[in-house]
Amino acid sequence: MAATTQELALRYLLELSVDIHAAALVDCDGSLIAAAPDSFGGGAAKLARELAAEARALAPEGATTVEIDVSVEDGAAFIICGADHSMICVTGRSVLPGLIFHDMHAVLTDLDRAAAQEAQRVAIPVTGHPRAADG
Amino acid sequence: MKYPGIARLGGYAEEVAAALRRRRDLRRPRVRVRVDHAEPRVLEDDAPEARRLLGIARDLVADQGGPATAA
Repeated sequence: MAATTQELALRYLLELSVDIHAAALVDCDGSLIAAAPDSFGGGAAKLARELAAEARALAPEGATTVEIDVSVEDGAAFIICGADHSMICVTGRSVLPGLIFHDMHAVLTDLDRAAAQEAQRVAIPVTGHPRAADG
Repeated sequence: MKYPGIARLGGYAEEVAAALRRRRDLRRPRVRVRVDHAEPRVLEDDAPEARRLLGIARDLVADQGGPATAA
């Protein structure tokens, strides 16, 4: 099955930063849009959805973006919660949060730009044109 | 030969202890929240939301903590 734009964007994010081990994109209604790498299974998807829900619960009324970094003993989880979707990244322990958030924002901006271009794309009516008969 | 005074030795010990404390604090599990480019704030350790986020993050890191393999 062909990878979606979001999956390609998350794979690019993993290429962008070797510190990021896994990434996921969750819709505002809590459904998983895309995840990378391929080993991101159902259990991890459920945890990503839970993290996104907790992040949304922390957002005050009227907030446009909430950034959360959760450092634990063996690594860290980073969440950017926006109006449309949330991005979750899993990293190692010794990372610079500012850099991770910068890379995440870069990919989210690209995704927003791609979505805007897709929305602006005008459907061109297909018109039949005469083709020369073969032979 | 001059020996450093007790006070000076005590000062060194305090500096080492403070450095170790700072290092331990940096590696302590914590949740930091930043809303709309404002200054980040660290949630209290015993706050319910911090405990929930730490628990989920621990599970996720345990599941996906290794370096990403090529797709």
